[in-house]
Amino acid sequence: MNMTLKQVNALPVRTWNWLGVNGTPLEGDVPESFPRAEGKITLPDSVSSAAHPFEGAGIIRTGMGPEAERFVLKKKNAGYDLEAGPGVKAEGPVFIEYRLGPSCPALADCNTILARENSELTVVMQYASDGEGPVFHGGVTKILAEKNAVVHLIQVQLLNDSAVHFDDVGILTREGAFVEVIHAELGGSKAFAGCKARLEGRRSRLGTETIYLGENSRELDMNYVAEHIGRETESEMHANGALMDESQKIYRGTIDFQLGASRSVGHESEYTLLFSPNVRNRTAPLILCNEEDVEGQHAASIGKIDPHKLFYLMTRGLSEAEAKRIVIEAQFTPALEKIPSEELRQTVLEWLKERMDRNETIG
Amino acid sequence: MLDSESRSDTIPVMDIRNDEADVGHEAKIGRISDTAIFYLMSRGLSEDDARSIIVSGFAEPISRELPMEYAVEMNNLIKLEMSGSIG
Repeated sequence: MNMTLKQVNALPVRTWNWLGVNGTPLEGDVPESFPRAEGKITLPDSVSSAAHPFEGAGIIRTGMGPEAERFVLKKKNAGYDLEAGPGVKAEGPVFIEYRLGPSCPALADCNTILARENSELTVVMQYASDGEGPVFHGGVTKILAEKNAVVHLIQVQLLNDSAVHFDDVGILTREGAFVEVIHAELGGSKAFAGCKARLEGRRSRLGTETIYLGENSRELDMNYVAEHIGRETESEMHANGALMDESQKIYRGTIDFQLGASRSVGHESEYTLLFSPNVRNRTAPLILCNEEDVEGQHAASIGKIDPHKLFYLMTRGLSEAEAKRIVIEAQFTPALEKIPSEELRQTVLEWLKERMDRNETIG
Repeated sequence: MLDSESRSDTIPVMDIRNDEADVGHEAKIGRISDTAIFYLMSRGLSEDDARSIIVSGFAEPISRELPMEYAVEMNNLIKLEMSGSIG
């Protein structure tokens, strides 16, 4: 069966169509049926798995948009509704692992995370695949962080080269809440990601760290939106990645200061390393400002590895290939350090090392 | 951003199709720094004048390139536009 989503990852404000960043159609072959899929979950005692999504989850908007959300809801075959009660500081992270392959070729997981007042919770989701056969993953995660709650969501995608994958996140924050989203998009033939946060409560904060790796003809498409509604809200959105072979990437990051969001601050940055003349990189960092007393800043840098860095490392006795690997690994470190599992961190590092080893440009 | 009526949408797009390019981009949006205003006012300027000087400073790289008569005209226009419109 062919999946066609006419437009996902739409920019909040449209620009010239010929630039091709206003939104992207998502097409791919998906299985006809989505039999029930089970993830492997490790749940700390203080965190409960509810029977239903929290009230109001339906109205939280996501980064990829309503089409992607509708598709996942229609095909849903997995998902968890997690809740941390008032004042609960989870003693460890929630780990959810899905393995796709011949026995489970399609996954549509719909998750919700409710962090009650003053609670703290970390959720790690890992998507991996067995074998090289085509697999599909589409996921939606919605987060409600109540007053002074803290939520860390880490999503690591290590699917095979023929996988079609998308990960969509929607966030609503109350007063003083902090939500951090870490996305590692490292596999798949198509890897789409979206995240939209509505910073409603005063002094609420959003942090996103995204790392991506483009190889072969991988298509990466990302859309991150921070809507500043409340006063003194803060957002920090950062992305780092490397593009090789004939990969393509679009990164959209929007800081939207709405009327009333006075004294809010938003920063976004993106650093991309290019390793092939056949890659295509598109970056659209937006700042929408409808409020006077705010500070918005964005920075982007796209190009080859800095030759001065390479030279410095090579004067220390490293070969060019080793120096390049160190620079690329350093690019991914800020996000990797936030993965609260040494085992998973090592898995990701091994994954990156393997990809770099087989790439001729890096050696 | 000089007042609460204004709106600014910044939509830069970078499209790079080779690995020889080295492209950087930065933008910053915000109100005039209170420290800068305070510094100029401590030198005897009114708040309106202080703000006007700072805004003219933003246009300075352009006005510097203009023939003298146009540069003077531009600075006067900025001053005129700013008078009484802020504060």
